[in-house]
Amino acid sequence: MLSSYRVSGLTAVVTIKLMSIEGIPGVVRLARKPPYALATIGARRLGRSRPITGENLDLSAEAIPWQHEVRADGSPIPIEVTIWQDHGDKKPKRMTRIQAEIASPYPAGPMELGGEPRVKAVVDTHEVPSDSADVYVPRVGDGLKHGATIVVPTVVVVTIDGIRGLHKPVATGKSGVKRAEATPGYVSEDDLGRAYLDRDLDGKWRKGTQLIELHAKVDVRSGSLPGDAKVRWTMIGVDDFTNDDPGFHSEWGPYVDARDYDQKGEHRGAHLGDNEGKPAHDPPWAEVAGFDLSRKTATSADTKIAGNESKVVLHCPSTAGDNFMVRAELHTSSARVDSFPHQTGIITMWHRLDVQVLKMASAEPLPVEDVPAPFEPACVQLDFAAPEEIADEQQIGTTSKEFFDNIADFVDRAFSKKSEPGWFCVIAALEPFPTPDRKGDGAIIYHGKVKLHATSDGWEYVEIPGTHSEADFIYLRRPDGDKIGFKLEDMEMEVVGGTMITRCWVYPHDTQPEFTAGDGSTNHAYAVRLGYGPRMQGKWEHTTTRKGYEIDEEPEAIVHGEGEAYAGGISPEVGKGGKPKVKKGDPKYFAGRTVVFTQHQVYFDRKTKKVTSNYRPSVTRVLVHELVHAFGMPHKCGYFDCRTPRTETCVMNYGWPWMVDAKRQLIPKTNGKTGLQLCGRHLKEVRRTQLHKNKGLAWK
Amino acid sequence: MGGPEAPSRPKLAPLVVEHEAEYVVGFPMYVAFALRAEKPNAGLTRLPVVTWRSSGDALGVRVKRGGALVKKDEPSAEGFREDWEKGLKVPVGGQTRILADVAQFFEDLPPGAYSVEVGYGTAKRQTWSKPFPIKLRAPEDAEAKDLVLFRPAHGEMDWGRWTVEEPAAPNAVFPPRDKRDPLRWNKTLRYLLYGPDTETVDIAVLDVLDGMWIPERDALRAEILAWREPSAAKRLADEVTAKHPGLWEDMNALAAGQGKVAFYRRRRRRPGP
Repeated sequence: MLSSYRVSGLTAVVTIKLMSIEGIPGVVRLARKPPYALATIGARRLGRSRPITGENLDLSAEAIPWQHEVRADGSPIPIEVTIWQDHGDKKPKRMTRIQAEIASPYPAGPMELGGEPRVKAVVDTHEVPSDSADVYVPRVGDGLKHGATIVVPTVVVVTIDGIRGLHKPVATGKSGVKRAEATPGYVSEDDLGRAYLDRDLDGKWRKGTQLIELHAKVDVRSGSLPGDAKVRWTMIGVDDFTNDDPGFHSEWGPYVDARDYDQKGEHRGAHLGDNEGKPAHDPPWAEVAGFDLSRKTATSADTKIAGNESKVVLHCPSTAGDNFMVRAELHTSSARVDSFPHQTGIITMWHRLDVQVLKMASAEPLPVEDVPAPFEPACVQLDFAAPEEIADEQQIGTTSKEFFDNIADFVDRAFSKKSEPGWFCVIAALEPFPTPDRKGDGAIIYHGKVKLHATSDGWEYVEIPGTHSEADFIYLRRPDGDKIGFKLEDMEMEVVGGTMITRCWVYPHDTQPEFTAGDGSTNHAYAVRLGYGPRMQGKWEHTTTRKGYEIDEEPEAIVHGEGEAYAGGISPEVGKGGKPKVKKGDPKYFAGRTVVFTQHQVYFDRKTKKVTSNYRPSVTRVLVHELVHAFGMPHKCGYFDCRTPRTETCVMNYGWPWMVDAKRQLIPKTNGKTGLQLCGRHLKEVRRTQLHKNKGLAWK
Repeated sequence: MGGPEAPSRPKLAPLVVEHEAEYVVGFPMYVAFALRAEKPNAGLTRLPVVTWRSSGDALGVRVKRGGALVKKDEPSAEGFREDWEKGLKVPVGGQTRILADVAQFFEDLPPGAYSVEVGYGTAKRQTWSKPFPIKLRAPEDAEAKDLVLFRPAHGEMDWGRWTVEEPAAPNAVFPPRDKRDPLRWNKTLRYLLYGPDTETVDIAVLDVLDGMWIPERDALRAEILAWREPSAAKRLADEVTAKHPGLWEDMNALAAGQGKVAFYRRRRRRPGP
């Protein structure tokens, strides 16, 4: 198997540069939506390219060179070039795939891969001299004396053989509680290496600190190391590949990686410069004792070589999703040194949180194994601890208002690691408060036509015959037959036109599509709130623009009495310093404290006392939803998730509202599709979140 | 769109506040009021929650001293963010009693005589009481000892949490001194939750709850009696609701076997003394 990075068996450093794709068939390039190319050389992804509009695509004009330097060990180097076409909400189409290998001894020079189309590439091979190379001298006639001066060349191989603070993922995209581990010798050769925000080199939480320590071995294969030789470390920028994946929806691309797009939002090929965070120190290099540091700049530094090794500490950028590589090479004024550099794979910055798992004795276990994977695109690693049992409390309060009085104190008492920075908490509880043996909507109390009215400040109401103080929920039928449900509030009963009626006020759906990463406060998360009623929409509590769900003025209505809708999970907000009680006017903060009610009637059968088959997916969704809140994020964003083909909406949505488009208009028939993944906005804003700024967490 | 004659959303009626004559610095300052709709034909739902333990942002005050405004804090509760949150409800034609602690508004005010207005609601829908006089005084010796005795080792005093949280030692529970005890509500409740068994507790312990506390006293008495005779719970709850209709929600819970005292006693980790 090819090993791009290991020194053992290193035979050559091979640089492969893809120059062009030529002979692209008309059926590919003349597609309505211009296709684009992706490539891999060894383990490295390249692209995506500019849109393909002609028969040939000149890859040398890409903003980021399509090349990769491979430390070859004699194995063939695989190359793959694919051409894709984006189909919006539908599955992207792979139109062409070219696969090839460059085999040992990796002949240098131009080469062509594939047939129609074909890829033109240039290979540069820098062979590592073998240890037992013969030395040839001039021949002379027999019996003649001769002499030759043999200069033994200095051959030096630099190898990065360890990175403290770098972690290798062990279950990317898969279930499981173990997510990554420090692995000796791992240098992110798979491009998946993680360095953590707010962590020191030992992995302990330290505010505003993100460090790795690079170790390089300097192997003098022959000759001797020049006296002025040092290791030069260079930090290399990398594109954020998230949006270049064909499975990432094109609509979210510009939000996640704006530099890859033109002003019209069209992909213009991968570009560098995506990192948003800054290292804690500038220049970002720090000395390791015994390895003197010199010539520090923002992107490079030299370190002393001692005992055939050299080390340096690098302060990494401070935003999750920021990425980079580091190159180590010999730097000397001597011209007689044949040196071989080494480069890490891509290192990406991640949030890492420990999660304390508490379970009431009679509660169902929480399916935490499925929770980490949806957070990975947002560069969040959640490490769930083994469950700890706590005493049963069948309910947290006798009424819903008492539940709200008690819940924050309950979590504050149970969450024993609340004072330890870097810890969230999930608790498997039983019920929030006593609930009757019924679920969902209450009984139907009216079914018939109603007339929708609206006040000048946008509040909508209907009047139904009779006295119905128990009216709680209304379904209104749209002209296309769809039923849209709304909560009702505030009933009035009076005689209108000789008939006793109940006037029911309709509570609009709310959506928060404008959120950004902030300080973890609810004020910030919900700063922009929009409302959508049956026929009105606008700012929250000011829905004065006519449209909403475009329900007829006199639609069919089904009015239900009080049902049993209650929380499946809750994340009690806290005050500054994590205090469970918040004074009036003080900000409230999300603080990564989540309670899941495992005996919720949606997935718990009270007769059999067992959870139903939908327990695991439902509770997993609750856990993901609530833990996204922990990053200061609002719910009900109104967006689809970030994937294509487009089938599900962001996990932060509820089931009944429609989603909204870029102009904040409702998108019909988009309710009931809540999935497990994040939208592009939540993904990006979770990455941008600086948890150490959350005063509710108060991690010092 | 609605014209001038069109209905507008129902409004809250002005608050009528019951209160103590004097309060003590450092202790809770409870007031009580009934939430009602302005018109008797209306019922209100999804109102912001205020309880005797927490008021969120739904309370406000305007405080004057010697005619000068010394504190103004408007109700500013947000709209609900959770569709399943029920909030407080006022039944059609009915009322809901609210017990609220306004001490947080007086934290930086010195002892003295004040005129107070209490407000309730959201930024856009709120209601206020008429001004009423109160006296705020410094703690006397016994009260000062209480402040020292009950203050937690870390953090700020939260009298609500102190009241319902299980005491560290079973013998740290005792009834209020007298009717002047500024913790008479808290100590009474704590005594019922963590003190002697409700089978043996002397109902006379409730006698300190007079004046504005009579509805709460009657509700607690019904709870204790229902504990001793569960089959009488509904009758006892109905009697309290008839006398104090604003307590309908708690009494519904009692009638359904979900009395507060029983709830807290069930979940305590240690048996009472």
